[in-house]
Amino acid sequence: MVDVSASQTRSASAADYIALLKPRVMSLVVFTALVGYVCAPGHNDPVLGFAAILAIAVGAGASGALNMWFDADIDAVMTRTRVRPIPAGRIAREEALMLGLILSGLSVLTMQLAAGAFAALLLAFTIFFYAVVYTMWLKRATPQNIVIGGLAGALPPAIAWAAKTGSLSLDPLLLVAIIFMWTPPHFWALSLLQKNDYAAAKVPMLPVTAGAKTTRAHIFAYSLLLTPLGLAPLVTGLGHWIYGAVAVVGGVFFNLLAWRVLRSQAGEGVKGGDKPAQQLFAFSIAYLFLLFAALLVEHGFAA
Amino acid sequence: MSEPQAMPRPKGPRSLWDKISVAAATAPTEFVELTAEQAKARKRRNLIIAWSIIAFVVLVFAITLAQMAAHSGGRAS
Repeated sequence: MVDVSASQTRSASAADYIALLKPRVMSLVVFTALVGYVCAPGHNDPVLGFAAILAIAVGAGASGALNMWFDADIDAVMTRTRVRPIPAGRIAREEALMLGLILSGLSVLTMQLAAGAFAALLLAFTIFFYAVVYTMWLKRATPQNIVIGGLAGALPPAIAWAAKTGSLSLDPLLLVAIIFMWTPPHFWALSLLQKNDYAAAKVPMLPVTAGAKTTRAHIFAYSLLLTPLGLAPLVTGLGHWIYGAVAVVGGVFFNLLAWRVLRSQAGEGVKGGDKPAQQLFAFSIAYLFLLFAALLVEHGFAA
Repeated sequence: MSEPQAMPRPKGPRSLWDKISVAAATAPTEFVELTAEQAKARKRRNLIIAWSIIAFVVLVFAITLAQMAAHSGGRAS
């Protein structure tokens, strides 16, 4: 039950409700979904395309709200997350739950209206996977949490592709695979920097359970797997020369930074030792953005 | 003289009137006084919800028109 007296006396702002939807994650989801939609064969209907991407964005936001509802105890412990609206006391947990459930329903409904049952089912599965499989189960159960859970963050381009074409093919699955393989080095670089926070919150992230050295080795191994996967769209014809140049140069640089992380003392509490992990974390965002931006340029401006 | 006995409550589902009587008897009589800032925040929240509902209605209308156009275009070609 909602604590009526508490909800009547708080003064949450619009920004607090937006923060519940994890806008930074949402922006990446919108961008990758837009690329998936533009790259998919067929006519770009601006209204239906906008509605489909909006539905994906709102679905991602709903997942974020459900995540913050369930993880309020963890968020209250970690430095990075204790300023979020629930641990900071500006929004009641139950309110986040209701917002997440309502937005989940509305996003799937909108996708059904705009793009049909297949895309709507994919979106519903993605929300379920993030909120239930990752948040409620994997996150607190296994150090492979972000590896498996990364599927939820990887699916938006495939949902957008399905929204436009009504089906899936090898190309959208390649886009999913790239984001899926990108997620572990990206998040493990971050978790090396926040190892103590995760340990205090009892979240079994890899640096906590297996140590910093093993995490650095995992980061490098996944980086080696990511680079050839990043080149695969050239083979299928999804990516052309701009994409190829970005994938080659970006891939080499990604591996170089991952190699530096492997050789470093990141996550061991040594002064200045975390810098390579910080650099890899920052570059990983740029790498994914540039890969997808190249596809957007090639397909969005194609004759 | 003995006390008058209350009428035994009839078994079965309670009437709507009974339910309303119970609700009225247990309705809160004291309310939280909001500060000016809290009242302002509540008004802002209400406005956001109202605009969100309006935006959703417009979106569904636009989707419907776009789907109709797409389907009629499909038949024409």
